[in-house]
Order: sequence, then structure tokens, then C-alpha cells
Amino acid sequence: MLARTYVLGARGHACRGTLVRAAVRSDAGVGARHTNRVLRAHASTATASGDKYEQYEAVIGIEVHAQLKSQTKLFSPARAIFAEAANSQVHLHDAAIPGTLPLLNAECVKLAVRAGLAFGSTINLRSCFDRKHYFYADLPQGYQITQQYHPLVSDGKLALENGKDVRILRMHLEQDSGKSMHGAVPGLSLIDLNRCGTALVEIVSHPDMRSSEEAALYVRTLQNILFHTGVCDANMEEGSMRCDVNVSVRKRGEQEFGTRCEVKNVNGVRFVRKAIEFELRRHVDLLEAGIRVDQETRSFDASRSITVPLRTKEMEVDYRYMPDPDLPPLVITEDFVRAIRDDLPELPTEKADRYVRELKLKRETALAIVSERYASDYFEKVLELGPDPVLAANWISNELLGHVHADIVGSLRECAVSEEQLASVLHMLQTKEISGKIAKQILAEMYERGDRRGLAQEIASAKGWALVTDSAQIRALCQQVMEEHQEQVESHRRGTSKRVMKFFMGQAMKKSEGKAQPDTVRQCFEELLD
Amino acid sequence: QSKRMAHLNAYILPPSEAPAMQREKANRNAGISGSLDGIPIAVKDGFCTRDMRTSAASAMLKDFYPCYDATVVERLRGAGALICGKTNMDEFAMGAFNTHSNHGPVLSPWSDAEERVSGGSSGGSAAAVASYQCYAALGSDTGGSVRIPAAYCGIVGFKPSYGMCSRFGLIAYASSLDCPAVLAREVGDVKEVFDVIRGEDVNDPTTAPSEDVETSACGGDRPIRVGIPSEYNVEELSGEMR
Repeated sequence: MLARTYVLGARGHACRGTLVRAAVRSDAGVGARHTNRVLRAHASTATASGDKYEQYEAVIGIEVHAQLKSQTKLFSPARAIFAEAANSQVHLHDAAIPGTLPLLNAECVKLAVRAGLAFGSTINLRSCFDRKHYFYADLPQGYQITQQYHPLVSDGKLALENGKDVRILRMHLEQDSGKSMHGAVPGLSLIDLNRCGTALVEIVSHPDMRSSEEAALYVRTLQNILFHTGVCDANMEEGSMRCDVNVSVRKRGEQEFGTRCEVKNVNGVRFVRKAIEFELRRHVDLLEAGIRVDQETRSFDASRSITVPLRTKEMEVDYRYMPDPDLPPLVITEDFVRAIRDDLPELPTEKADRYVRELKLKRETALAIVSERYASDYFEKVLELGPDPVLAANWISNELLGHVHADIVGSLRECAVSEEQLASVLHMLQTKEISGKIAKQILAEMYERGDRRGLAQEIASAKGWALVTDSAQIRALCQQVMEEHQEQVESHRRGTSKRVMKFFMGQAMKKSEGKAQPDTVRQCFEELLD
Repeated sequence: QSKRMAHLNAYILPPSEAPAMQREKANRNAGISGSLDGIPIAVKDGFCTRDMRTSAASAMLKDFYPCYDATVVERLRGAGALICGKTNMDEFAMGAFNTHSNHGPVLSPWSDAEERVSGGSSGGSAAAVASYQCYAALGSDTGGSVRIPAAYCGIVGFKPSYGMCSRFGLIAYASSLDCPAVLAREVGDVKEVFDVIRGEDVNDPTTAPSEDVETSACGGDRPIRVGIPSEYNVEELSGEMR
């Protein structure tokens, strides 16, 4: 029922229900309920006027700002670390002390080139730095050093799982600004320059995306590649990756683009999706009412899932771009690029292919593992301890990640369950000392404790969950069962009853209170009866 | 000498207040031996000096005490020079007569009954050198800011090619044109100071790598030809100049 008429899927009517359900499941809690209310509200108006949203498609381009994982900042030797004490990582140049000059950090260039190579882009051997001027308290120099006219990287593409290729226009290096906090102390704005001057790579896509889901997929895929190549932590919640989303709408089938609005600094994949959905509805509502869409810069209000205006076209800033006279053109050699290409870490799709090929994982499982941050590291560490790859992959992508996702502070990086612990559970499973059900209980117990210490064997014996596999004990058990049920033994020997094995198994299980290892019991019975 | 010449207003921070001069008597036998050992050199107030206020003749920086030395200043100190004060200038080097200063204008030592401008923006440096208040001085030349006051004050002003001297620590005016430059009474003195401050600096990406600098040998028996653009021959030029 929920908003059946409101769907933006590029895949068309057949997927309606699925898309809406997917949208609801991936949210949790109050936010989702509120969104659903908003959606329902819009849906009711939409139903009244027919499928008006269906007639339009969104045209989306995204600019991603990713913080490079360099040791120091782009133009100063101050350390580039997240969340240190305020104003503890500020070099003279970051604070724009008079007379200081920018000094380019080669590591940042290497990371940006690596990012370019990961998307099959052209690396421009000659690029230049420009100043982008605007006035704000968290930008001490009064300008940001960026690469407006001659970026380091041109072209490239990102292949999405839905088969679409999103073209990348360019990538360039630029400085991040500091952080400002208004109102934390009454009457004051607080400025923290730790982040000021940190290296960013800005990745600009062509407006190739046609739905909010596609845009979300693009962001997730990009995030994943940046993470796996070690270019960026790509953690949108922490701010190491941010998106500016450009949305325009047009009637399906039209060739011309509608008026574009930009939603700045969206810091979550689900927020990207919601921002686009809101903008689509807003634009369509305006157009259907005969009102022109104004070109605006907006920001996303996460608490209300709406976008709000930030600047109108009249308020647009003139950045007065000019080549930065303190920095000569950046010239890199083919050898420099080749060395980085040779050292390029495995891309997520390559890793997934390898898992399928060498470890015989199912494709979905392999993709699940490479898509989750730190999952492939965790998985490969677990594999070193010997368990079966397919079993390990299934347990990580289903059971363990189930716990991690349900936990607000859960993460595979410093997981409540260590790789050794998980391996011990898998080992007991493989030797059949425990059943699947018991294994899940043990894992839950481990996660609950969160001390990364107790191995499966200890927990199983402490809780009395381990199955008995000792042959002497099993034999004794079987013999006891057989003694108590002589008639059944006779009917089996005479061949008149085929269900005797099942009966004996049942009895043995009952007698052992489910503690006997089933296969061992079966084997034992087979021996004894014959 | 500076006290007698104080009316020229050449200094923002005069020798009487310069820490190096105060220490000079104590350090006379300190054992530093460089090519400029013990020689008093004035520095234009646009260069950052660690132990002296640097204001670029502006009220905006009247309380700016840099925590570092400009590279050219560091090199002077490294050769044993005594930084004897910070000289007056046009505010942020924006001027050609040294009349736009928070500290007041600089008078040319050649002023008589009529007060004459010293030229700028490195007017304080030129006036200090011309009135024997220091051996030589650092200035900065963007569009003539050392050559003009040198000419007005009758001394030698030398602007090296852009990239010869490090701008690290020089408060920027036009970053693609600013050059640290030298003023002195004799050409030989200028060369002595220039040889100390010149050269590539890791802190300034626009300095030319040493291997890229060609110096042509001149002097000796080969005559020098000096070119003067014919456009300089303007009506206002005085007869003796022409």
C-alpha cells in the first residue's frame, strides 16, 4: 500500500513493490517512520493526480569530496588525523600566518593518481593549482587552493552492479577547510583548524544517474573502491567522504535537461537517496503547478529528510579563480604513474572474482564480503586459521554481520568477536562437535561478552553445549539403547522394519539429551546392528 | 647616527631597540665568523623576523611577532650579520613614494629646505643606507620598490631575477612578482649581501633550482653595453638626465 505510485526505479513497474520494501527495510527507527509518513503524505496527493512522479525522471550528477589518507596535509607538514584535540594539528601555513608558503605533499599526489587509475582515468602529466577565493572564518587564507582549470585526472568510469556505467568527468586535488561551530558557546563561533589544509580529492561525475537508487549505488560503489585501494577511509558518518548532489528533472523521453539544484555536503548514502527523492518531488510539484524551478544551492536537513535553500542564483559567489602564483605547475612522469599502477591494490570486483575463482564462494557472498568495509580483511585473517572458506564467508556475511549491524557501535574493524574466536566456532562446526544451532548460540555469547577472548571450546564446555563424540561413550549409549529395545533390534535383524534406525536415533538423542553427536551415533548403530 | 637621523623616519624598529644590536657588544667575541660578521644590516618591515615585531607598516599587523625568520634573514644571521632594525615602507609594499605608512612617511636624506620623498616601497631601507645608519639593507621589489628608492636616495638598489631569492617569510604583495632585493652604497657591498641571501630554498617552491641558474661572466676587459628603452625619454625628464 505504501506509496505505490511513488517510485523512481530505473527498472520500471515490475520492481515497484521491491523497491519500496527495500527502501523501508534499510532504514530503522524513528527516521524511517517519519519518512514513511512523509512518503504516505505525498503518495496520497500523487494518487489523487495519478502517477505524476512516474512521468518524470531525475537526472543526477554527484561530486564526491574524499579525504586522502596521507600522513600530512596537502600543503603543510601538519598531521592529517581525524578527531584530535581542537587546533592541535595546525601548521603556520594552515593558519595563514603572513609570509608562509604552500609546500606540495607528494604522497597526496600519489594517492590521487591511484584513485584515478582505479577508475580507468587519464592521468594528466601536467596539472596546475588555482586559488578559489571566498571569505569565511574557517578559511584563514581567504582562498582554497584547488585545481580548477587543469586537473590532475580526467575521464574515467565506474561500472555499477545494475549494469550501468557512470562516466567520471574529472578528479582533482584541493584543500579542505577548517570546521566552525556556531552557538556551542553563546555569542561565539568556534573555529577548529585541524582539518584546514587536509588533502581532498574531488571526484566529479557526469550527470549519468537516473534514480535515487542508482545514485546511492554509485556512492556506495565509489566508497568501496576508495576504501579498498587505501585512498580514503570513505566513512561518510565520520566526514572523510562527503557528497554534493546535483539534481534536475525532466519528463521521461525528453532530451533537454531541466534546471539543476545542488544539495551540498550530504554525509550518508541513505541521505543521498532521500535528498534526491525529495528534490524530485519538489521539482515535479513545482513544474506541475506551472512554476519554474529556480537554480539553487540547498542543504539536506537529515532530521526532517528535506532539503532547504542555502543560496539562490543571485547570491552565487564569484570565486575569482586565478592560477596560484606560489605553486609551479605539477609535472609528473610516466614512470611515476607506472609505479603507482604496478602497486595498485586489488579492486573490490577483482577481489570478489578471486574469491569466486579460488575459494569457490558464491558470487553474492563474495560481493557481500567485499562490499562491507573491513569484511574482506577479517575474512582473510580468519582463513589463515584454517576453516573452510565457504563456511567462513557464509558465517561472516550472515551471522557475524547480523550482529554487527544490529549493534549501534558495531564494526568489523575492532569487532566484539575476534578472528580467532570465529575460527574456533567454525572449527567445532566442521568437526561436528556442535550443531549449527549451537554454533549460533556460541557466537551470540561471544558477541555479548565482547572481550575477544573466549574460544568456542571453552564456552561450549562451560555451558555444556558440546556434543559428545567420544567413541567409547557413544558405543555405551548405543548398546544401552539396543538393550532396552530388543524387539526393535530383532525386527531390524530380520529385515522387517526399516524405520528402526530412525527409532534408535531418536532414542539415543533423547537419552543423551541431544548431546550425542548424531553422525557418530548413526555410524555406531550401523556397526552394532550389522 | 640613527638618533641624529631619526627625523628621516627610516626605521619602524630602530637600532636602539633591535635585540641584535644590544647583544652586539656582548657577542663581539662570540666566535661566529661569516662573510658578514658583525655587520649591521637593516631589514624592511615586510620580512618576518623572529625576535622583532613585523608589521609591514600596517596597523593590521601592529601586534604581529613572528615565530620564525624569513629565509633571507636567517641566511644573513647565519653569515654573522647583525639585524639592526626594521625599516619603514609603504603599507604592505603598496606604494612608490613611501608615503602610505602607518608609521608616517620617510624623508630622503637629500631633503633640504624642502622635504623630499625617499621613494618606495622600500623607502626606509634606502634612507637608512644613504644616511649611513646601516651598512646595507634588505628590501623587496615587485614593480620597482627597491630600484625607485635607491635612485631617489642616490645609492645602489639591486633587484635579482624572480626566483633567485626565497620569498619564505616575506609578507606577500604580488606573489608572482615579489623579489627580496638588496640596497647598499656600493655595488660590491650589494654583491656581498646578495651572495649570502641568494639561492634555492625548500620552503619556497618558486625559487629556481641552483642548476638552472646561469650567471654570465662579465666585467674584465669586455666592454658592457647598457640598453635604455627609448620610451624613457619623456618630456618631463630634466636636461641633465637626458
